[in-house]
Order: sequence, then structure tokens, then C-alpha cells
Amino acid sequence: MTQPAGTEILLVEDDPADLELTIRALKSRNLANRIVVARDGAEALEALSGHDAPRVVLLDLKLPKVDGLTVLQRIRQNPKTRTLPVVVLTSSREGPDIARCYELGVNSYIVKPVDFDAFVKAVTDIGLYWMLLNQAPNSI
Amino acid sequence: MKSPPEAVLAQVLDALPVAVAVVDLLGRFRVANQQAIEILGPLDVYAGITEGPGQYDTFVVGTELRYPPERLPLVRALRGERAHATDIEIRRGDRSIPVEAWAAPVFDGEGRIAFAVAAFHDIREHEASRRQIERLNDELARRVMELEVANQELETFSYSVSHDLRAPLRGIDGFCRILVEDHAESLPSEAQRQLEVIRERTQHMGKLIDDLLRLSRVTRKGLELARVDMNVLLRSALTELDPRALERTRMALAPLPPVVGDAALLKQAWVNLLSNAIKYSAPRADPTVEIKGQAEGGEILFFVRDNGVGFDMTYADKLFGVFQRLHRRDEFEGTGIGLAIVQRVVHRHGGRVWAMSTPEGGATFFFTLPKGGRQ
Repeated sequence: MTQPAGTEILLVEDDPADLELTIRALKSRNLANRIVVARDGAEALEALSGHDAPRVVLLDLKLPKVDGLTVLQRIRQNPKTRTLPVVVLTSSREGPDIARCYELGVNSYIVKPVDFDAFVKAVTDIGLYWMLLNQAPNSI
Repeated sequence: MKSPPEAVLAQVLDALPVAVAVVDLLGRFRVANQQAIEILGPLDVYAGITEGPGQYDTFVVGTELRYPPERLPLVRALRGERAHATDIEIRRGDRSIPVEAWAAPVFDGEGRIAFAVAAFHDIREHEASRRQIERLNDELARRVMELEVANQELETFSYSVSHDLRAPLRGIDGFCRILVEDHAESLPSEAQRQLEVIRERTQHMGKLIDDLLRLSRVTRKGLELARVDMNVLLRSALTELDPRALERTRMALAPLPPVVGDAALLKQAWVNLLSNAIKYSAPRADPTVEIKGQAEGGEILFFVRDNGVGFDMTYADKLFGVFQRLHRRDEFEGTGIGLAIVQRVVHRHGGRVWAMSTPEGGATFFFTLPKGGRQ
């Protein structure tokens, strides 16, 4: 099996503790080999403007500068990233966010559990699903 | 038919519940009944005498603007129009009377306008109530706006609670776990136990936040009333319970009558009642939960009965309070919000909820919903 080059996961997260926990969870299942971190929405858009698109974007919603909903919207508007899998990972099950995210074409909406074991399972399930099981449209 | 004499006509006019006045082409009053004199002042009309100059004035109601003469109903009627006005205020001395007035032309035998007749009445009471209604409406609009702002703030607050309070908890829980994973050898077992306590307490706070948000959602959510098959709803509620606990429990389900209610809210009430029944009967050798429903007068009564540890009725009034618990945390896990949610759901549907129990004798929770939905 040939390893695809380039970024596999774009992780957009501003909370350093959450960032560390998420990377640790991904590492525990060897899913953190080629991970790019963006610490705010502007960095995320910058990272996506490069040549190689990631296999999946893990996106927090509450972000400095450009918020997650706007990042999602821009990803869907850009023909280059229109079909890119985007998983929203957020602390909140409140507010109009869930409906809005699905309207904007998010692939999954995950509320990060407080319990670390449940959190690890959620993150690694997402990683495994989008990295290994899901057939992306551009890989056919 | 012979016309009644003038004296009879005068009585007829006085018997009417409105003021009536007739003017000629020169604007002189020719007829006025008692009610008209009451409003306009004494007019010796039957002698054919016009009103004295300046006897009364007309203003646009509620203002200091003279009523434009060409718009006065009687003047318009003399031009051949049928006129109606509700914005005239008649002032005489220190009295001012808002009136509603109608006027129409009166023709002679050749079809020429000869007179104009006006009917009018005092609308002071009507005006006062209209102003009162306007005031109340303004007040109401202001309150609604305040409520909307408060509601918006509550939404924002809930969002912040949900987002900003959960995130640090995840950090505490996660790093306690990492500490144990990375430094297990150098951590004494007592330190590891203490870290486990921190994690357990952290997760409990996470549950408290989730339950508080659920409670506030139950209050905020608009009721979406529809016919609800309670049997379907109950089965769906059962899928949300801990399957291991459910497997141990004998569930005696009787067919339930349908209700009119909000399916999402009622399901939440069932989930909470059932999980309580299962939780508190778990210590029994044969945990049993029985569910029944029947029509009773104008209500539909449901109950959930368990053979669990029960409670002392002395504390029954605390049962439905937020954060109220009748059992120690090391006996039964819980946040003390479940029954508060049940009560809010039932109350919002216009129903009642109560419980009967004896210590060690099981508990029965009853709730009613009005037949045909909230009235």
C-alpha cells in the first residue's frame, strides 16, 4: 500500500488543552502522522489555500478571528475544497450551531465528551472512519 | 299615511340613543334633540333659531388644532356627501367631548339639497378605553421586548455554560487520566485513587451541566402539540436507558392510551421516570417496573410503579425540586434534576404529577395529561 503524501488531518483548535488531548487521542491510534494544526479560523483558511488538501478537517466552532461556521462556509464555497470531509468537534450542544452546520454541509457534528475515555473514543472513531474507511470522491 | 305632528317627532328624536341635529344651507341649526343639546349646548332649535356665535368649537381630537371646517361632516353633507368622522372634539366652556359623527344630505321635493342631518355620540368612554388599550399595548410591547432580550441573554448564557464550562472540565478529566497513564510507576496507589476521585467529580459536574441545560431547554422550548402514541414513545424512551440495567428488570407494560402533547418533551419525562424506577429497584432480587395508563374523567392518568427502595413520604415535597435528592450519592448516582424536568414537562402540558411510596416498599409516580391536550 502506498502512503499518500501530504497532510492527512487539519486540526483547527484554539484551546491548548483540548489540542493536546486531541493529538494524544489521535496518536494513541497512530492517526497523528501528518497532522497540521491551525490555532484560529484565519490559520485554517491559510492552511487550506496550499496545494495538498487534507483528508479530513477537524473543526472547532468557537475560534478567534474567523469562527468555525465561516471556515466551513468558505470550504464549501471553494471549488477546490467543496467535497472535503469536515467534522465539527465542539464543546456545545446548545444554540443554533448544529442546524446551521448541517445547512452549510458539514459531514459530522460531534460534541466533545467531558469524560476523557469517551473523548478518546470519539476522536479515534472519527479519525479511523474518515482516514481509513471512508472513500473520498477524489480517490476513485 | 299622515305625518306625525312636530311635537311627536321631537319626542321621537329625544328617544334616540344618539344626538341628532339638522342644519339648513346656511349652517343654521333647525332641529336638535336633547342629546345634541347636551353636547353642543342649548339651541332654541324648534323656534328655528341658530346657535350663538362661539357657543362651541371643534378641534381635532387630542390636539389643539381647529377642525378644518370643510371637513366637518355637516359641511360635507351640505356638499352632497355622506360623511363619517371619529376625530372630532367638541369644546364648550371647560368641557371637551370627543364624538363620532355621521352626516348625510337631505333633499327637497326637486332633488336639491335643502338640509344636512348629523347623528353623533359622546365617545369619551370609548376614547378612554381606547387610550387605556393603547397604553396597555405599548406596555405589553415593551414587556415582550424585554422578555425577548432576556430570552436572548438566556440563550447566550446557556451556550456559554454549555461550551465554556464543559471545556475546562474535559481538560481536568483528560490530564488526570494522562497523569495516571504516563506516570503510573511513580504515583502511589493512594494518589491514583485520589486522581480517580477528581475524575469522577469532574464527570459528575459535566452531567450536572448537561442536566441543567436539559432543564432550561424544557422550559424554553415551544410546545409542539400533536397526537402522540404513548406506546411508541415509551418504546423509544426504553432505548435510551442503560441496556444492562434494563435487562435485569422485569418490565410490565400495559397498552397506553394516546395523548395530545409534545412528543420530544414527553419522551424526556418517560426517560427520567423509567431510569429512576430502574435505578431504585436495581438492589432488588427481582426488580420490577410496571407502567399503566387510563382515561379518568377529563384527564389521562399514567403511572410508573417499581418495587425499589422507595422513600419516606415526609420528604415528598422535595422530590420535584431542582438538585433535591432523597438518597446519598454513594447509594444512588444522580444529579437531582430528573424529576424537576418531569414536573416541568407535565406542568407545561397542563397536567399534574405526584408520587406515593413507603421506605423499602417501592414507589409509584403518577402523572396526568388533559384529554385532548392543553386547553
